[in-house]
Amino acid sequence: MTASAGTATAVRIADLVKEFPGGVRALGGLTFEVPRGELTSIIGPSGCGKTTTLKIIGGLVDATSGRVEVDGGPVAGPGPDRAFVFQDFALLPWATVLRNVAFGLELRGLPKKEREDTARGYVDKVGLSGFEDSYPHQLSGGMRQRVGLARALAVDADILLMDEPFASVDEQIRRQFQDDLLRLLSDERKTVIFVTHSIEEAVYVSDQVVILTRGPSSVSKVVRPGIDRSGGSDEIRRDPAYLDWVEQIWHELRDYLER
Amino acid sequence: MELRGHRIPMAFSLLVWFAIWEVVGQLELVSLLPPFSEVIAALPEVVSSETFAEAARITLEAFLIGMGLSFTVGIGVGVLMATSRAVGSVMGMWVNIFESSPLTAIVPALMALLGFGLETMIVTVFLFSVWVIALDTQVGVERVNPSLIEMGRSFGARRRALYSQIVVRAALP
Repeated sequence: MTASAGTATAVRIADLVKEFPGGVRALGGLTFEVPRGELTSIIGPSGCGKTTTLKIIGGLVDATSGRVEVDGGPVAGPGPDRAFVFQDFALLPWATVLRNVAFGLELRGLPKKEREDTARGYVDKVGLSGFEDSYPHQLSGGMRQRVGLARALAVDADILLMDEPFASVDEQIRRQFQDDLLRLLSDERKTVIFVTHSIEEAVYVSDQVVILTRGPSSVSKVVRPGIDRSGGSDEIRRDPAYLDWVEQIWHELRDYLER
Repeated sequence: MELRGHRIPMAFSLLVWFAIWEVVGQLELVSLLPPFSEVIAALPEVVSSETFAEAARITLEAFLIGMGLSFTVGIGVGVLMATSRAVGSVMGMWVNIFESSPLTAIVPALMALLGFGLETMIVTVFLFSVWVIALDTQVGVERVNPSLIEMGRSFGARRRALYSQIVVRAALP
């Protein structure tokens, strides 16, 4: 990470409360900050409102109260500064890979040639060259999520919101995917907010991990693992510092599970 | 259907009815019913006549206009029923009542109201089809994967684009 990272804040969340109709309180006052150009994970027990938090930042769900600021301005609905990667991929089943990747640009009204040129570049970047004319049902889960990622990258938003992007992908592909994501992000300089329920994944990919308590959730702790990524993937996963962080976060979460 | 191990096509039942028709016609049991063979023999003459062509044209016109109206109104009402809870609960009951009621019974009433002209035919076609189109549209729209709609919204789709590029396409059978 560069020296400027941590000084600028991309997303600021204060006292965020979400109550669903019927009085179910999912978020009981979240406060945390997301540094620009870094990857921040949100982790917590299932049903603690991780995805809800991400959708509020994405402007897809309204908060009951509290503040969400992106680049200093309040969030009022979705915007071109944020792009979403969905857990279930959310690809258009009737459209080819290329059209799916270009769909964000299509909605912005870019001419066909232009948006397809851009899309082709990102299809290549996520490792799907040759599949431009395939349909989603012809692809494996891992490949579909690559399409979802390429679509989010293609609109060139500063902030990438990823909702358990690898949850429906098997373990080997998941690890490969984590490395690919880190490699892609090092070229792109994005701010990423990443929801996951995997502690290992959170420690492996994140600069910062926001740990939530059980719902109605609040922030239990914010940690910065800062894993040394100079070695290879296998080296990192055996690194005592990495294992230590996994253990620490596990303890933090377990406390809330037992209560 | 199978008979002694041989598959018999469904169309075979038609032949049975044709045979009964022929017998009843030949026996002259019912004065208005000519035998099947005579009907077939008269067919070329009737089809090539001008009155038949004119009648076919009127029927086709009534059908097309009636279906056009049905699709316009039915799809509109169906989308509204699926997207607005208020419209859904107010219209839902009526659409279901008309969809399941025997509308053939009100055709004579329509004739009394509107006469025997094109209007009656159009209204009849409309009333027979609009309800099921509205219901099918409602179900189709309700079954659109909500995450596709979220995806569209997150990538900046306005309401119009959301419907034209995602909802309508995803609701198609």
